[in-house]
Amino acid sequence: MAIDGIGHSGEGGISSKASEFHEISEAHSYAQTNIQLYKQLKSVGYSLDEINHVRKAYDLAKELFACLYCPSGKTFLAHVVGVGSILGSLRISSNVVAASLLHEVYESGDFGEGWSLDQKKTLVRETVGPKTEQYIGEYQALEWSRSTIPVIRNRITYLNPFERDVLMVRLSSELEDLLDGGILFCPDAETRRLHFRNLGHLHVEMAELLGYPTLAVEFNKALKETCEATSIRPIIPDGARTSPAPFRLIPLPYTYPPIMVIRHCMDHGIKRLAKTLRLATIMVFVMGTYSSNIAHWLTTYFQSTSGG
Amino acid sequence: MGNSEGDLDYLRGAYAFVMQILSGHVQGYGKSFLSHNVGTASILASLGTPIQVVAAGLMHNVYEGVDFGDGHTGITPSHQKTIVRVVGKEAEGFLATFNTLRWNPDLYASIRDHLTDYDLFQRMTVLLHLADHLEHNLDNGTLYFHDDESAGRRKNYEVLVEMAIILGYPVLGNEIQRVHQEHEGIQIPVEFKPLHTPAYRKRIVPKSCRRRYDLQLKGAVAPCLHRLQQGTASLYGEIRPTLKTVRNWFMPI
Repeated sequence: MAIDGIGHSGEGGISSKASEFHEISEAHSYAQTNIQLYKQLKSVGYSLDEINHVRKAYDLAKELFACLYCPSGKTFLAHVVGVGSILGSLRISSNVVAASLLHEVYESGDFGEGWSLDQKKTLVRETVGPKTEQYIGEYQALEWSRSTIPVIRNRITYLNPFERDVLMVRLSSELEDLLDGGILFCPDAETRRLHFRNLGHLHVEMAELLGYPTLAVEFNKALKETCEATSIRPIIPDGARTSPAPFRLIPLPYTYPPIMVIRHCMDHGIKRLAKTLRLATIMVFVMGTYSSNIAHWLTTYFQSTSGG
Repeated sequence: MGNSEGDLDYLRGAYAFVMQILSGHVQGYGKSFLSHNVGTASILASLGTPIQVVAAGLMHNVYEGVDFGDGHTGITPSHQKTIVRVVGKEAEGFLATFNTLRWNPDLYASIRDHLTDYDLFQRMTVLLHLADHLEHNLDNGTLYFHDDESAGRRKNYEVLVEMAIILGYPVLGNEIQRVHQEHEGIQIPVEFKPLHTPAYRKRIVPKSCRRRYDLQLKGAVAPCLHRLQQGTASLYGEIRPTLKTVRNWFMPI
């Protein structure tokens, strides 16, 4: 599903390029960065207030998902933006789009040490509002596994609108993982592929039953391409974990051992000290050389002003 | 695009390096630098440039204020060695030239006039700059800066279009022209712009990591501070430097 004006590859660039090697036909056109998402939401008719609401969610996501990567090596922020973009293209409520940007925040977001779930919920509620927070909480509570997916599929007609929206966030998240062949770059690519081979058809059915046939078609296509791809190459940077969960790459200055911290501090301190000393030396030199002249100028100046 | 599996492995290595080194780096309006770099590389790949240029696009800003893990930024022999190890000498050459070529809107005309005299490295570096410029503008990114900054970044773009044509990439020139013309009628609401200037680059560090870093710093500095406090207390009575003041003085992050 192409969205006019959002044809820029952004974060998906490397994946989309790689996807050609994996027989995945073309790069998808969903947003992968915040500003692409705003542009898309505007083009499909969201109001400024609604986009602003999504922006607030992004600003929080940016802090809490800092340095977090999907197992495929794609930034987690790009993933959540992609999910928001899929939902935005279906013109779903801005509360759901905002919730999609924070959909795994209680599980993967870094709030700092010692935060209870209640404290986390309060922060999210204060930032994006109670309704959006409700979606996030419900998403967290939705069990999504080999055993629960068929159950959810069977009782889909009994779900209320709120639960259906939460399910849409989940389906969009799954689709986003498939769209750029992302799962082929994960360390557990084969397990994931097997999961989709066995249960992928249920995802497609659920999208249809929820009333989004275009999403179902897209899901089907992405599924087929991912399952038929032959080449699988995970991206695992040095030092990153090989677990199938999202991982965090701490910025290098924050991984210094204590001795490096001291060295780093000293470097800055010495530079500042040297600068101050240099300035002081110049001032002393100037004062020493020109002190008699300066005194003469000052005397003349004061004499002339008092005389005037 | 016809690239081989070897090329893909090469780019994968470059990406793995960049994702570590640019982790947490975002632009003022919230877009991650990694996204920008991937976008730049994608533009260069779509133009059919050699794979080393694509890799250079993926890493084009690593010499600009990025800590390599040794406490230093910018071009240093050890940083260059690291880059050579990851992407080879040629791509590193592009990066070094990219960093040393003076590039601002007032110099565009002069660069354009001398473009035919440039060697391959310099020409490819100019191409890198053009791709970088296009990527910044492609999703209206430059409009999210404050007005002066935004206008400065769009100044003299017509010369960039000419440069792209001279370099043999008219498609790139047309694209630069198209995005700038599109920008004419767009107004970004003020609440979408960053609160503070300059907001070109900032690093967002995970919150728990910040705490750990503080603790680490405290562990390293606290014994010295304690001794300093004891010394100054006996000499001057109540002068007691705190960890915060010392940290701010030494390390204004």
